[in-house]
Amino acid sequence: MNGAPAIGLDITLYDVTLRDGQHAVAHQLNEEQIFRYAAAADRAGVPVVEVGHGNGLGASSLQIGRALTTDRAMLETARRALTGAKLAAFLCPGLGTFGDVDLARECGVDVLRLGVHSTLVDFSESYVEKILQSGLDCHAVMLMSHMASADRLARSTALLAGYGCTAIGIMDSAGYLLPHEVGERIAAMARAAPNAAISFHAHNNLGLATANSMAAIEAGATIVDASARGFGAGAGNAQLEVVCAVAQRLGKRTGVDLNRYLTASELAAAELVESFPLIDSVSLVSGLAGVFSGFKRKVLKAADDYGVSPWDIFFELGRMQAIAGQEDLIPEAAGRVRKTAS
Amino acid sequence: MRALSVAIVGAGLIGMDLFHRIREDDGIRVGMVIGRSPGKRLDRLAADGYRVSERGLVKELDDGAEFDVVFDATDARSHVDHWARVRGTNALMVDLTPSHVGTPVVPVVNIDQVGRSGNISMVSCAGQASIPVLHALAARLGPDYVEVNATVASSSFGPGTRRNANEFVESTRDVIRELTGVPIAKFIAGVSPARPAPDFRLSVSLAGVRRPASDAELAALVESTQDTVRAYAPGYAARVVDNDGDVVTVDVRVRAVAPTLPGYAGNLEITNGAALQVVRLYRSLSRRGAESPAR
Repeated sequence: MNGAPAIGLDITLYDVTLRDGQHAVAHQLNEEQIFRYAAAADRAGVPVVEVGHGNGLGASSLQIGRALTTDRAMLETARRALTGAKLAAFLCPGLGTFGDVDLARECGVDVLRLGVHSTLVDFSESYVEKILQSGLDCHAVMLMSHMASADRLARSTALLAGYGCTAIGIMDSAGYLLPHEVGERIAAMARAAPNAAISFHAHNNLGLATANSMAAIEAGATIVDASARGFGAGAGNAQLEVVCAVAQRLGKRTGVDLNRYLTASELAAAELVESFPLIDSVSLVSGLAGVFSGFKRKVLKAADDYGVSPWDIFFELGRMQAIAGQEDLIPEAAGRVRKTAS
Repeated sequence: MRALSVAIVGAGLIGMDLFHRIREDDGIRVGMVIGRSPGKRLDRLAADGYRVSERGLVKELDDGAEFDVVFDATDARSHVDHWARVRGTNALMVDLTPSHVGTPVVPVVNIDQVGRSGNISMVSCAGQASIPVLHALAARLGPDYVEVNATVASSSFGPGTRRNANEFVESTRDVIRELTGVPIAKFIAGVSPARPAPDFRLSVSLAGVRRPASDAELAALVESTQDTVRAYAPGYAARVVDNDGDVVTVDVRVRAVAPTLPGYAGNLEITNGAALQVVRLYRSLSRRGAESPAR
């Protein structure tokens, strides 16, 4: 097993509805929702379904948000629902531990994706080793990739490939990148690791999720993350059915049956959430400020508590270079904004 | 009474800060600095007249070197080998790796373990910074869950610690549970690449509080804990930021004040300051007892 698309496919769509989408419902998806959506995606030929808390295994916490159900329940439920699709899980070292890798193996996870910061990939080397020893396929995705240059990402990509990751990608966690910035990053990464698959994960804060995904494909990415209705943190991810349709127009094979997938997408719309992500003022500002979209709910609360504008908090967090997992910086940023204003 | 002779194993960020701290203390002297490979650091120390080695602790002991205390500032795996060899000697092992092999000691909580165990584990920076507050508050509040989120500047994490990211998280979590007695503990380690490097800080929460306390009482408890820790980590600051009856949250920050460390490296200061406390107590026990204290 490796990160490359199955034979005959140009693009592997990674369905992150049941993982990144958790951000849009404060990690409250229940087992029935997970089962029904995973089964529908599986029927449509979606090749990989990623499941879990929005920040991955071991992330359920006061700091980031407690999930409705356990990692084990989520993974086992999805495993039962999938017949053809691979089951993927996400893990950020520091949040998740080797114990979580063991859990993933026990639950039948096929692909474990490590979320690492682009300048700190050496923290993940021992995790890659552990995942490979557990017999799982190991991918790595670099978070907050707009903070790193193409060169920097290329060097980190080479390191991750050397550790044994079969696919290496970037997340535009803040939804900040423009298509040509995505293209130059992906191209540099593909040159740095010619034997690994390259992946891209978009956020739609600037309305560019689909365009950026296409730019990634043009530059050599073969794995693209997407979700039903764009269900995901902040302004949401690339919309899977749209990416699928655009790929079809471009003559790229994804293996997903669009007609059947629309059924899954309708099911997601009806059963997973009350309101789908859109580019509201807060999402737009967080994108422009280069701040992780998943902070949205806590920023809105802090804005309320401190009586300041959420937009100003996002710009302050951008100046502080806050990254996911540092939610405790949000009140501090709000406090600074209040101080400046008074 | 003669000064205790200390071996520093590992000449990285932790080892070199220990070296400076030992030089400041009349009761302790650097017996040898043992590094992984030759390099400028060891050369400079040798030029200054210190005994250095790049052959490893085990070989030095086999060749007859003797120490009163061994500071292990390498990594969790190497510690297992080091302890296997030190175990049969009279030296006290003070473990600064996240191996979780020895008896975990946080000075304000259980420094009385010194003299009872031959291998004292300093847990981790996050353990040293959070456990004093958690221990004091858990006893009062009776929570069923504690959570610690730590942010550490990436530049204060050397390669050994980076290799041990998982051990760091798991052993910190386990020792939090062990020393607070709270059934469920969660520890989240965040490493920040931000520039300028952020201070070492932690958000410490206790949830499912069974015996709520007033803001004033909690503030007094946290302040007295803070003052105790400041004896060996002067840049330690803790304050209650939330108390809603069910969840109590305390912010902890540790600035380094040692002239040899950047201010943000409070993680190194609190761990090494605590390690020195352990050795000072060990020394006073040695003086009172016979040649060496009960093992």
